[in-house]
Amino acid sequence: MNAELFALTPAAAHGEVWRLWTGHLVHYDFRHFLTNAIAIAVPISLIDRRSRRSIVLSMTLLAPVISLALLMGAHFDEYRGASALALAVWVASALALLRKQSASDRHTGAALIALAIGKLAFETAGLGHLWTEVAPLPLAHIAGAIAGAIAFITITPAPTPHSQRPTPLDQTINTAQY
Amino acid sequence: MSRRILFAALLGMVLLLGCSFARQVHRRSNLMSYLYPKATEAPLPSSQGVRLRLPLRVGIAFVPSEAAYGQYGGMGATMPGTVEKNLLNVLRDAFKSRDWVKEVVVIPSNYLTPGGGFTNLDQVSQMFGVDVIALVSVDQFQSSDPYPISFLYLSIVGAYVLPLDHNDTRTLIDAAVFYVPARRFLLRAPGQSRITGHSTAVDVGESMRERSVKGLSMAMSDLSVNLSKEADAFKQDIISGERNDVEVINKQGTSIRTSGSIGWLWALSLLLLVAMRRWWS
Repeated sequence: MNAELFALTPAAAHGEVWRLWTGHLVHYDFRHFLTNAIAIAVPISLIDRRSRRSIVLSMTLLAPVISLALLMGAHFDEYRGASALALAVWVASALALLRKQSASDRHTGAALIALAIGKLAFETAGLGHLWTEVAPLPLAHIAGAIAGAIAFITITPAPTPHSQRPTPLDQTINTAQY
Repeated sequence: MSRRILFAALLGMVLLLGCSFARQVHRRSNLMSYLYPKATEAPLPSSQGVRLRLPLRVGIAFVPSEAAYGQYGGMGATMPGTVEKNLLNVLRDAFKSRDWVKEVVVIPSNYLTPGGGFTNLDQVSQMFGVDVIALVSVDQFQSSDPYPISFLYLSIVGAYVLPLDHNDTRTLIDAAVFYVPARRFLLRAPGQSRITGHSTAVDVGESMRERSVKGLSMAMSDLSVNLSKEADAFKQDIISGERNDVEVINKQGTSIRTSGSIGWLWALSLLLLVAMRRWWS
């Protein structure tokens, strides 16, 4: 399989629309793929199954939007990698965890947000090329983070507040009143 | 009896003539002799990566030539300065319109010391303000052989009017492009030509001189086409990651080979987070 046919290039705006999706799937080498795979797998493994499904579905829809943002906002000959989607999953998962009741989930969500902000700040300061094999595109990660926030707001269902759920004791009291 | 003597005399003169008119010349400039004059002390390329910021100022120069071998009908071993400049201008004109080229600087070969190596190349690079230099080496072989009927040169008029010398000019030009600060080889391309023709005995020298220049010019045109293809292939190699020692920054300040790359530091941080989550719970 020739990965050059699937990378995101300006040709995507001239008919080769599949590149809007596939550019996020192809990588330069195994190490590049592995780090991005970890960055997707770890946050998504921390959230519940329902939120996970919603976020994955939203990524399918947001991937071409991120690609179009990159094509309009940056000048490059070729882009490969899933890190924009990883940032989107990262942020959406973090926000989903922050809405949970347990302290462990909230701590994890806060730590994920802190890491994401740290990474974006690091790259904006021009230090993004450290610890990476290929020059990263900071705009991709900013677009990914915004996409993650949008995914969280629009797709993740609002959880029922724990305090409003009828407990067995409430039900017993209500039954007794009648 | 007198006929036999006459025939023997004629045969002897023809054979003598056949030997006296054969000419050959081999002009050569050797890139390896220039860059690595002492083979045992070939310097290693720098470990620093190549970072090319577009548009580039590219220098082009002929590798200093070695002495021409053989009889050359009056043409000197060294290429005249005007010829050298015209040849390099062929290359310059082919590349000056490329969007990744800011300027192509023609460097006269007398600025390059024979056997000067990278030290000399460093000096030239700084003097002309270029980081990338294309070194053009030449291997040209010319021969001129009289046809068997060239005994007709016996008549003085024949030597002036009968084109009985067969000339052959074969030229091979090679351009090797280097990133001088890191002493790294980037790409190479060949160009070649072959010219055959005839000339009279008295015009051999002039004819070979003209064909030498024409052969170089044709080979240079071929080289510019091939070098253009190689430059495109080189760019693709960078993008695809086959030349990951080279990074090219475009006019907008972005690497032409960009990625969504999380990087090891952040991937490990996420894994650490999973371990900490277990501790929190």
